[in-house]
Amino acid sequence: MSQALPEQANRRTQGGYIDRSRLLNFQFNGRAYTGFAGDTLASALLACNVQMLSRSFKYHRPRGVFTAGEEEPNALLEIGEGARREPTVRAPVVTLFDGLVARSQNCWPSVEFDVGRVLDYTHALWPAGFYNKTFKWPNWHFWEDTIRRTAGLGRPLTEADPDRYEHLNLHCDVLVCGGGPTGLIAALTAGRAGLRVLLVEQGEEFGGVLNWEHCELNLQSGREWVRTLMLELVSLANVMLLPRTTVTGCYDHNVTTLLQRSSGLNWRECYWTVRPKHIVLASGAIEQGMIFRNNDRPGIMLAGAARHYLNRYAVAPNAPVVLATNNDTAYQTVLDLREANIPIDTVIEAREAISPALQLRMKQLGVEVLTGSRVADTRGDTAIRELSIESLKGGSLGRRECKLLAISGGWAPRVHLFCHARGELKFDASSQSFRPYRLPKNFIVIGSANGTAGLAECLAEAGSSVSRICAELGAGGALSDLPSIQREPIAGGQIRSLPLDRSKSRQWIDLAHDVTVGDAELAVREGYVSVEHFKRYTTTGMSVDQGKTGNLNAFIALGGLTGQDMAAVGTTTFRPPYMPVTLGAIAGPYAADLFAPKRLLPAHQLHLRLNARIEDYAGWQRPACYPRDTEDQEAAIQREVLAVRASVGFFDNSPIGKIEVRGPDAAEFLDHFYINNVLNLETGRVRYGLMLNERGIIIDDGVFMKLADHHYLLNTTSGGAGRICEMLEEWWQCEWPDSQVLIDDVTTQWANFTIAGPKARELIGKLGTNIDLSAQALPHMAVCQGKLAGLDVRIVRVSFSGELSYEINLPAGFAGYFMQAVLQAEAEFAITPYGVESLFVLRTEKGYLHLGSDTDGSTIPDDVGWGRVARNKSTDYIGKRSLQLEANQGQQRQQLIGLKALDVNQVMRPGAHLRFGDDDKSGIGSAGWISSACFSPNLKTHIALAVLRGGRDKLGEIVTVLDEEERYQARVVPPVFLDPENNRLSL
Amino acid sequence: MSQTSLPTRKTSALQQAGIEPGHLEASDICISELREAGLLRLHSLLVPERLQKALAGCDINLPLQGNESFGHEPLALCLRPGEWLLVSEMNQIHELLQRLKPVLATEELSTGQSAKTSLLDFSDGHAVFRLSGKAAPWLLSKISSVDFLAAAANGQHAVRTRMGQIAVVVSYHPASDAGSEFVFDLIFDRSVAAYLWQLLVTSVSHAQELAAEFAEDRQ
Repeated sequence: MSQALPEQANRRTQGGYIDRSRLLNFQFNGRAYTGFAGDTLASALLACNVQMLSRSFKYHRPRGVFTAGEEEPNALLEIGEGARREPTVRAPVVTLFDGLVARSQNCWPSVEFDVGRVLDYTHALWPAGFYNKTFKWPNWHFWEDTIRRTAGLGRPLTEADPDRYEHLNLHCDVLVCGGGPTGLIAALTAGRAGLRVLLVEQGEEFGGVLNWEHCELNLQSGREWVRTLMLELVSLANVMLLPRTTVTGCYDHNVTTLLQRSSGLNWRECYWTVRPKHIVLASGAIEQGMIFRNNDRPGIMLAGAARHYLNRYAVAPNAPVVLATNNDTAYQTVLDLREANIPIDTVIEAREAISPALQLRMKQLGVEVLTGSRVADTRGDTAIRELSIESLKGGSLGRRECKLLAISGGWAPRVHLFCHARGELKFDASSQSFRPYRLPKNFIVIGSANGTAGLAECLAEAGSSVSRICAELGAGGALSDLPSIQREPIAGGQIRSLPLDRSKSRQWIDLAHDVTVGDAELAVREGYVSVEHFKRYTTTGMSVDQGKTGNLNAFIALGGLTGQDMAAVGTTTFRPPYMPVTLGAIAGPYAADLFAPKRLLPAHQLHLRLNARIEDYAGWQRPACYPRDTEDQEAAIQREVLAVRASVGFFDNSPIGKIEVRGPDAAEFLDHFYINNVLNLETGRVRYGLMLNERGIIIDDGVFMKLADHHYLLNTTSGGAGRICEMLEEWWQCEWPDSQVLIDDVTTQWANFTIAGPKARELIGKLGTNIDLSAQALPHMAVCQGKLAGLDVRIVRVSFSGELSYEINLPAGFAGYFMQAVLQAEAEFAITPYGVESLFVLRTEKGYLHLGSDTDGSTIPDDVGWGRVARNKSTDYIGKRSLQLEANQGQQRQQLIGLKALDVNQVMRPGAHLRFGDDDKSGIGSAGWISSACFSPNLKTHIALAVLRGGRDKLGEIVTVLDEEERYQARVVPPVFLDPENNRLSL
Repeated sequence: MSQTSLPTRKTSALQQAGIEPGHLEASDICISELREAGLLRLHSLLVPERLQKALAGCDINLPLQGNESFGHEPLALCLRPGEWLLVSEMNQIHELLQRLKPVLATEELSTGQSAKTSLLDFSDGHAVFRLSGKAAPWLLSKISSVDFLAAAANGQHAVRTRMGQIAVVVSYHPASDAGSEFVFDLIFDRSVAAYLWQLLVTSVSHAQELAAEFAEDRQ
């Protein structure tokens, strides 16, 4: 016999399946405790006779352990410290480890003395939905802060999560959810047939109830039989076994998600997405509580849980124990307690009679069975100490001292995952439960999850059902050898509704959310009689446990209050996830640097060597500018802009979208997408174009060029290539499938470098080319192909800076080589690399449109000065009809204009709102806003582009600019600030 | 002005990101960038069977069904009806391009219309990673929903999928050496090579764990 430990006062010296040789130290609320390897946090605390673990959600009532599984509504604790602190974990499912630190939550200053308990004493003020109707004076916001601080359970984390989370996808033939005896037989049957099987078990070990109930199969103990079965399962290479894993959701086409908890240190959780051909749900059943006054005290526990703690963890409850039940299964608790010499003398039985066999057994044990009775009330503060009993026909049956009240309201099939998969439930009068009725495709439910009672019946059902799946998948389908059963727990856990005692309001129907019969009465009184409305009004079943032990009580209460039976009341909808899933598991590895793909330029390393300040632009990592020495960003931008205007600049424009469209119908096809004419474009020429959606809104801009007959190259906005390519494909596949076109996104095949400035032509000539770069041979908006610096290139003469500019396209693998070749000319030409921010200044000076800055989801061509082109195009194009709508006509739309502050030193910022003088007085809202703004080093003043209501008619007028608290005045000017005659372009 | 001599080797996708040597070898897994891989994309409006017949003369076995892949040098992958990737050594690509162009032109001529086929060198726009080893399918299963564990049963084939928000063509082919059961080539956009590399490398340890725990030869 092992030595008893004084701090583990309730630990039996024998029995259980814990490793008494491995003592584990842990802390709870700052006090040191011990447990054994194999314990859960709940079992260890119970062994140390810690009854009160937490305070309830709303009324801050003392609460203890109620269950032995993930359905726990009471013992919700905070574990861990620092960044690894985790709130609202269920004590029964936390595996104990050395050094574990746990705390009560939702209490202050301590769980023993909680100031919040005042809410319990004043409970009449806080009925269901109180926050919707009580705090109207002076207004909700007056109270909101206090109420929000009071509400909620755990404290959210503020530090970054230091742990790793993994993801995994898996395909299999059969996914078995639940590693109890039924699930084991299902997996073995499918595994023996050679199917790819994934068996998932929420707990640490497979076998379910056989690990702790007194069973005998094939003349072995339940635990021994499980071990034999597991040896075979482990030996099957086609069977994967996943302990410590919860099935969190079932979705369309049987897509199922799992949350696996690590047993090691490399990662914390792994989120699985499984695509099985068939799902076998063997998730068992959940014991339900009972409704009576003060049924929430510490020391009131489900009968099955009491048995679980006794048999599995050798935790003896405080005596005397009283059992209250309405079904046979709970009597097993009496037998087990008596076998362990723990006093239990009274059974409060709701039924009028029990089976003669049970009656005889109880009599032999000297246990008094009070049939036709129920618990009337309980007493005790930090734990139950006494209860009173009443007859269901009326009248008191006296009081009993009680340290543990084991209750059982019957067993409800655990059908949550079945409901996720859109399975239909139906009330079964014989078992008094909602059972799976209409199965989703390739989804079966077996065992007690299907409402089947008895171990032998469950195993037989598993074998035969899965054999049918095997046959369906052409895998033999031999029935597994079913074990002979010599001993099993008492079966027969039907739920029975007891008449509701409406004279007592403080009877809990949902422990986790503190919902009482009084709340239910109020809801019904106010007309919330549909079960879905009732749930939302009372919030029953909406806490972290999602009503696993409370929902049926809620249905019973609603039925009792409305005079309906359970079938008429119906059920609410179970939705994923079955258990809370951490955000870390959902994010998996896709956090920090891996949050989203970062696209690198083909010459990324060279830009770094040039001291580029890299920033993210639509997913591309691009140089914003190239600061020198001690320059700040603003100084670098100004230097780069001046260099481009004065000499020559060099810009990596590789992300610009490049889509090739070719085919006999290419011109007609593309003509549908641009407001500009594509049909009359000559080979070797380039045209700027706007693309619209069906509503006439600008969605992209860029040049398109004709490279040869039936062969076009489109440039889209940087980062827009994929989107536009998909759009072209969609229209082609859905609207014009007979069009003879081929669409190819070649964006990353080609690097693109812009050489811009008055000396651009000279510089390119120096690089060695066979292309005639003269203005006559290669004018503005023309394209040609040839050799440059030894490479095959395509040169497009277009400009986004307003300068003489050449865009050079070359194979991306040679980007670094070409960039080095260009920079070698630095000494001669003072060539300056410039970044995206500098380009934005250059284009703003020139008044060129930047999509996304100067446009939004309402901008049409006329707003940005392209109305005439759009109107004059004779052929049809996407968005044309929408442009004819009245809303898209007239001069009162917001139009692109330029702005100059009256004070030349005034800094203008994008986002600032504009008001006309009169608006300011009358309080009329914004007349527009600044869309782009910068300091122009060439004009030596701040300039801005803006959209302004009727802006083109307001040239010369003064507007007030509202930039947060700042107010200043600016003059409306044309949007082109520099070289309006385009002289610099046509050099 | 001095002229930089034309390089014979292009900068690879990982080199451009500063990642060297672009090769990772660990227990049960090997990942490497195939820097010499060249790609042609063939996109055609011609009748596929006819094209298949014409290209057979160039020693190219063109698959007609999506996800099929045939051959070795070049490897031909059917991405969808009418769209193929031809994978070969970089130094073979130019020659392959020149060999195919006249054949395709002849086929176009026979239809009486031009520009019905596009044959593009995609070698610069894409990168190729090769994964091999027992843990390779587990590694891929971590970042894609395709059933890679069944890869060997499906024989040589290709799939288009998404890995960490990246579009990837995965080409499975039997290993040339007996030591490695699985060989997967990932073909994807060059600009995201560093991201995908980091994602794969980060996922290696868990993939090794999974392979050790669940691989079919675990006994």
